[in-house]
Amino acid sequence: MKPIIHIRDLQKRFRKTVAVDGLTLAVPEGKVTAFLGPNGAGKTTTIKCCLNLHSPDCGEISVLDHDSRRLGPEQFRHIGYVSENQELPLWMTVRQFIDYCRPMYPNWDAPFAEKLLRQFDLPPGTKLSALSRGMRMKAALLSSLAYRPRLVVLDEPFSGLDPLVRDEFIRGLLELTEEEGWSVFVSSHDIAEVERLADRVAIIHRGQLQLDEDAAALQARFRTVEVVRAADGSLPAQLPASWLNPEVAGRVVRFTESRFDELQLARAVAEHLPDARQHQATAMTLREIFVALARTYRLNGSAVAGEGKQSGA
Amino acid sequence: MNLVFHHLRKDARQFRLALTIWAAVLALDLAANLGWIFRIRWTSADFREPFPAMMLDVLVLLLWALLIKLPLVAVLAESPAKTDAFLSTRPLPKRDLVLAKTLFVFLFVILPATLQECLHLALQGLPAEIVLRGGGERLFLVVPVATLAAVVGALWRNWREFVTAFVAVGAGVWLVLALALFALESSGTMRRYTADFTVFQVLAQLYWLCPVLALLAWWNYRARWRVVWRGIVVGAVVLASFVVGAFAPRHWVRIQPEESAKELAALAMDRLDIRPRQISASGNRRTESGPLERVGFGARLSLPSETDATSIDWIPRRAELHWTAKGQVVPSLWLRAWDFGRVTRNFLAADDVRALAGLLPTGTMMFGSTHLPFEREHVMLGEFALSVAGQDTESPVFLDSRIEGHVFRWQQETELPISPGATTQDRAGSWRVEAVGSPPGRQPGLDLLLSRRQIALFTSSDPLTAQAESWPNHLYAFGLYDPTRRIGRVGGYFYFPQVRVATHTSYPLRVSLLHFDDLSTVTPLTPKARESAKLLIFRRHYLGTIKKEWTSPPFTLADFLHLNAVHPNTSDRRSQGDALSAAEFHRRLKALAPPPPDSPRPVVGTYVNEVLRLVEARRLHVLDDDPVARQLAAYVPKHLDMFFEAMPLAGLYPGIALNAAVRRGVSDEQKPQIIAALARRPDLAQIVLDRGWLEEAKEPLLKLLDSPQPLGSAALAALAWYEDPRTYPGLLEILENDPNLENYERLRGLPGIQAALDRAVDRAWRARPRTLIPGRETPLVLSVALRHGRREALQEAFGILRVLRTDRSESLSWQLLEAFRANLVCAPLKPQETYDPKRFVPWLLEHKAEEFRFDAVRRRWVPTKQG
Repeated sequence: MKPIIHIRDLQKRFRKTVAVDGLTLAVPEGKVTAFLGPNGAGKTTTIKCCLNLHSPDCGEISVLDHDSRRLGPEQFRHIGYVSENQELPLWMTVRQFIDYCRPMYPNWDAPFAEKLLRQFDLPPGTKLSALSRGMRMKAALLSSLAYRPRLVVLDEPFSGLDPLVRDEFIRGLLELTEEEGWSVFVSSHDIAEVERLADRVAIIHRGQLQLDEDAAALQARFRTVEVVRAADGSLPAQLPASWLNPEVAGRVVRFTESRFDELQLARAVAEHLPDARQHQATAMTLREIFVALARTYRLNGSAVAGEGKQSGA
Repeated sequence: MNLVFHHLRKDARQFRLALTIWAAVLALDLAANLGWIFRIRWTSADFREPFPAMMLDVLVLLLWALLIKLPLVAVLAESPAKTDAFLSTRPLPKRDLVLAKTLFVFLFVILPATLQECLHLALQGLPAEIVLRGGGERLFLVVPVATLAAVVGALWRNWREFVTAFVAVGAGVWLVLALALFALESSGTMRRYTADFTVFQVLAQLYWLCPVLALLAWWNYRARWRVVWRGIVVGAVVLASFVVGAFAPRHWVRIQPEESAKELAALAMDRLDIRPRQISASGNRRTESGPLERVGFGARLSLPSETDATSIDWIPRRAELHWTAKGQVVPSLWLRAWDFGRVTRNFLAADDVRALAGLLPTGTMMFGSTHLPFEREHVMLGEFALSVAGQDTESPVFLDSRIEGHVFRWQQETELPISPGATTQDRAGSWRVEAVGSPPGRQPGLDLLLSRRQIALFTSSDPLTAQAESWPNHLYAFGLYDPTRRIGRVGGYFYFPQVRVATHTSYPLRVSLLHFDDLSTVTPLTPKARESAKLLIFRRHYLGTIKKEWTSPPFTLADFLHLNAVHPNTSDRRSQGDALSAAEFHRRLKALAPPPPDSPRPVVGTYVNEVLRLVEARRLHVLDDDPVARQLAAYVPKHLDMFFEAMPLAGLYPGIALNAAVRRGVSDEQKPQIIAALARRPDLAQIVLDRGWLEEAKEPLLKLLDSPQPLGSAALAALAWYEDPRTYPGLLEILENDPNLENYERLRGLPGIQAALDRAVDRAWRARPRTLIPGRETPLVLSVALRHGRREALQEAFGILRVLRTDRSESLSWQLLEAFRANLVCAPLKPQETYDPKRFVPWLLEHKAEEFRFDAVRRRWVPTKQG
């Protein structure tokens, strides 16, 4: 499938800080791609480079088959962008805001906008400045979806929202993406927020891509493993590279298997932990996988060798 | 295009509150300037604002603040420098956005500001051409200001960044400018860069900044510079704009009559020829206790092509004193750009008075107040620190200077009757007499409260004088003309504050309180005479600036400085308190025991000093046969050198006494000393003349003609004795400087001098003081001109006589009667009767100038019809 966003070897530096360092990523069309990473990982910078809000120092980005540096009105008619930092004309009422955005988009779908208005439960006569943060995000989302964009870019859309609003927001977005089949590129520092949405997951850490994989494959690949040993003891010096964050608690050894295969796991346990009495592999949520990886990155300071880092190119 | 208007509508809605305030401020300003609101209350010779005038200034300030703020906020709302702007990822073409913002600034900011000015000027009743010019100028000024505000807004992401950058860039530019100016001043090239910027130069700066900063904003939009770099580049651009301003033409538009260009060209071609005696020096006074520290040089400047209507404000730009032998150059102490170069003179100079006199109807006697100048002023060229030159006052020096002259021509603008409410309209504005009165408790006279509204177009013919600070105090002069008696009065104390500041082409209301003295020597202005009297309003028009270089002939500082030396013991009491009574003077004089003539110098010195103190206290004009002169003369044979030393230090009366004593007491053996002293004391020429030492004194006397010393009648008489044509120019110069009948008669008989004498008398006559000032109604040259046969002199003499109060004999000038007595055949009055004003004045009043003709043989004016 042709990627709707294709980032090749992106580099962006702010003074002495390297924000993005050689990032290569393909965002497939028609899917929801979660762009994950801890705070300061380089997510927002990458997105701003994609939307020509920042100029890359190095590398190339193609968005909707156009060089990101040359994105213009024609391309922005097909891109919806919502960001936590985005300025909104707060002096407008919701209705004025919709009326203001409408003429800019020839493909503006007024009934759809009305539907979104009702769906998001936005009060038309209230000024944006009087709305809560969550409601403002919904208004921004409305203004970015009502023209049925081919690509929706959401930069930390859930940041600062209370759980209820976040849930509503996600549900609304989920329904729409399912209905419309849009390509969504959503960044977040918490995978739990996008777990329900994401078809694909990309993880960035310190400006470098650590992982880019289908969500289902990822979940199939990761397991939490608990091994019960005959007696207490320390772990051997050499363990398989796919065992992440191994921990010992008495006779129990716990780790995350990043290349899960039942037979191979049994073999590896027998080989490295000969006194193992039993082991149990449990499926992980995306959040658990993200936390496990994040811990690993923090400990190792770089990508886990042999992980499923791959580009969609 | 739809998106342009769509966005424009959005901006209008977004800034509707600011736009409403803007419209209200414009309307308020318009109404205030038209006098619809905040009316001024006029009282007798005074006016009162409804509330502090500062409030109106605040209104104007607010207007300009909004003019800057509106474009700024409109652009900052969607600044291209932003990365998180709502429109950054919306399909609004940048071109449409720029167009929408441009339309916003033009339609809602520039256009209303321009229309307001047009409306304002049109409702004031100004001609359409002036309204269009005023509106055009407003547009010309508002466009760069508003555009610059918008462009600067495009460089920053938000208000916080803008304010920070504004403060930082402002402080940086100020610092760099201050350092640069300091360096330029130190290197002596300061004036070139810091001459006052005209409106045109400021506009050049603004118009240069607009495209450059716009380009910078575009560049920044593409490259996203760091804020620090943006600040540095903007600062550099602003600094560069000062260089652009400095090198931009000072005037882009000059509208002036063609003939004035010819006049200006003629003046520019003239050589500034300053004769040594036109130079004056003034130092800190040499005293017995302290050295001379600094000396200032001035000169009376004139050009051959100057006419009566022309007035030139001379401004020194550079002055250096060169010590020829040592090659040392001392620059002037106070030639600073901020001191000079501005036309800020708010008093009338002698040239102005002469020009104004020429504008009155022929035959009008013009009176002025005592504060008006009587003769042409010296222009200070520079002041020099002698400590730099090691107090060297004896070596030859010369003065090298560069001078600029702002040339003006006076014209009568309009006239008004002396009645409240009288108004006159001209092309540039209106004059109105608001109140007439003579408040009790003040010196009797006439007070006029005059208001003026005048458009100050910077594309006027007077760009130099349109400088707001000094305008228009130095630009106007007022006169009171009484057609029944044909008396004119110029001056009047006036102060011309700006009462209402209009928007920007300024059509301000200014008020002037004119006070015309009641001239006690002239018949008073009766209510009836006041009815027919008119207020004359004169204006001087700037023709242009001429530049002159002048290098003086060589001289020594000592040549000048001894002229200014004053004895501290005798000068300090001069003119203070009453003079000593005659009885007391003689009592004290007798109390002094005169030492024998051959006493030692200290004893004689003490005695002479005491006598001189008494002379000073008595203010006694000691004549040659005065007992005091006789008493002092006794010491001259033995102590002549002491008298010579005392002369430079003596005040007026002691100096006269010393001269009289030397004249009386000098012996033939002292001839060489007297002749040697001529170089410093030209008045000793009288002794040379009296004693017949002329042949021996010829060389030093001739040298006097080349010295800067003022030569009096004694030197002239001695030099005239030689009948040497080479001395004639110098002698005629003495006559011109001191045009008295005695000097004239000594020269008139010299062979071959007639043509030059005609010219000299003509020059002296033209240069005479034109304003008659109480107590000084008659210029000295009147008598000379009468003796030379000038008819207008006779007409003027009768004219002066006609307006002086004959009921007050003391008011009649002694000089005037003396001029009649010396030049008129007053038959049938006997000569002694002419010394009785009660007989002589009525006789004169019975006659007119036309009744006399000049008899070239008798050198007198004789009646046309005998009997």
